Amino acid sequence: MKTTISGVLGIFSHMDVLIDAITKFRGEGRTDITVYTPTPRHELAHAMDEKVSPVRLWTLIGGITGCTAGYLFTSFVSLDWILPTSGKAVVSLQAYTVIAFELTILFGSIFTIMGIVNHARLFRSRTIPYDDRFTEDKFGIFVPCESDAFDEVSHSLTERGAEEVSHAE
Amino acid sequence: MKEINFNYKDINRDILRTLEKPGLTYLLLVAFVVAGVIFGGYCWGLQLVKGMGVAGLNHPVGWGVYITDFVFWVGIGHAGTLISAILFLFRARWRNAIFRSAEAMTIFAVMTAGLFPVIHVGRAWVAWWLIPYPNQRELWVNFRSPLLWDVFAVSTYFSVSVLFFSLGLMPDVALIRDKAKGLRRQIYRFIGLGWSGSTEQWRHYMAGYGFLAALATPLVLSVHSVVSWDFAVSIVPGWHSTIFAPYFVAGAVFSGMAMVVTILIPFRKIFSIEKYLTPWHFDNMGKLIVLTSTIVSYAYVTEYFIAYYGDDPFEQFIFWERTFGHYAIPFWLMIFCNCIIPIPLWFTKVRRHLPTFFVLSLFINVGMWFERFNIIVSSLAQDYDPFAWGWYIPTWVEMGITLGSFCWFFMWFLLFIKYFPAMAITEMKEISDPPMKGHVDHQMEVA
Repeated sequence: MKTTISGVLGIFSHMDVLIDAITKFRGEGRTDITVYTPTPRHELAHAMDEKVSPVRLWTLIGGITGCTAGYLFTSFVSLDWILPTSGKAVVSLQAYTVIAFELTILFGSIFTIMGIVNHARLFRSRTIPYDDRFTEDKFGIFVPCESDAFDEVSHSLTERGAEEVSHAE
Repeated sequence: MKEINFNYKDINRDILRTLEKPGLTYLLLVAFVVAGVIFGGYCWGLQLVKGMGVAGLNHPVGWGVYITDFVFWVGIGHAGTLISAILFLFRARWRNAIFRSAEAMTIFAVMTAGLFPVIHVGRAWVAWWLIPYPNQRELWVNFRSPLLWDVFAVSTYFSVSVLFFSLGLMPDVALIRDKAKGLRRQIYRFIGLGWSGSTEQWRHYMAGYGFLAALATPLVLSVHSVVSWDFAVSIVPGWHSTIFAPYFVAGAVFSGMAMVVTILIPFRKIFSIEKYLTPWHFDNMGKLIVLTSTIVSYAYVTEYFIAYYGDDPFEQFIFWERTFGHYAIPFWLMIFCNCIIPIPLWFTKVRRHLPTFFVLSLFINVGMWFERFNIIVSSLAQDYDPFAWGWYIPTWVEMGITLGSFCWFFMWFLLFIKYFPAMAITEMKEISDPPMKGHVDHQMEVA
């Protein structure tokens, strides 16, 4: 697959070895590494010192948008053509709460998905190397570097337990 | 834990095997359900051509089997979201093996439910009038009506369920993509949305997944509450009750769990995945069935108590008639299937004896269908004015459409399990031990 960032990809079979390798790379100040895993694990998140995802802000904005839209939409159309029924208020906020609640959930969910798509960079072509076995049972570390540092980084990866290494220019 | 005795390689091999060329049993099942769908379609076509006269609906019973089916199928969908969202938030490990099937079931059940308002209105070609838009006179729909709340609730439920389901499916689709070749690979690459499994992707994915679960949890409780208000907000005796929302939600989870059991017991046998779907999973589902059966039984008793204690003659009359009147058979079937049949499930041995559990789950499905029928039809048949009373008997066309709806539901499920993993491969890996070189104490710390 065509990639745009040069570097070295190491493939690992064992998670404990991978975590040790991540810790060492990060200890050397390499915070630009990319790690692949078939399944999410807290140990990996800790080793990568991951921050809280900003997706939560998308959810919040979506929820507020949906709730506001639910009340405004129902109130506006009730005032647009006044339809009195059984002496009830023209703008019946209690009844509209059901609609506002459903739209809060709907917009919150849609915005959450948009947040994931944006931050997880879905729908975009890959810029760094990948191996088909990463979704199966292998782990990987990609270390970005220039071609003159390939040998040194490959050596580091092999020394830290990578079973295979490949270069991407 | 002895129920979790598989590694990453086992999971990949065994679950992806279910996507391989189907066997004869599978093909026969597909042929049977497709025939049922064709028959259901024929019955609906007859109704469209000849008019609503071919259905048994008439004054005073304007809501019959079609609305019964609608409420039943919306209820069936509830177990999926309960398992995928609520049990996810509680970190129940037994959910991982069953949630994908249950989620798929939710979507197909809501798709089935969505057919019934269209069938029920008769002139299906104008069913789009339900959608909130201003008509030619710029008159909007009535947002104070519970029927419109229902449109919002069910369509939101369907949309959120599809989003939640698709998000959960993405890493597994990427796995299929990476193992496939040719055109199949291209198709799964498109559906996989460029998933690579980097920790950066997982970080946002897991955060979003958690939020979707948190949003879906109140949604699942709201949907059947809103469905129940279609009845409770009216003043028809037997419907006008404040307990309807929790009563309907418990009933929905009860019927949904029974349907999950009905589907998964043959599924594990046909695809030889007994190693992943163990009696431990069914034991836990059985406990939920016992809990919800108890809540439903309590709701039945409460309805009768309130009718007695409230001293409203119309209310008392309708509950007396339900028990001993024209519709006594559906009532006693409901009591038998929903209150008596689940009693053996209090015992672990029964919950873990899958042939017995399968038979019990069939009875519960039948009982919950009759519960909906009982609530809807008996109240309408005999409300305030005896001169307006009338009896409703479903016609073969209505029952044909009902049969077709079951076949429609199972058809989608059968197609689904051939193209997508019916067990979540990624989440099964989460609960299994990761490959380790040395003995490291990471195992139990799943994301």
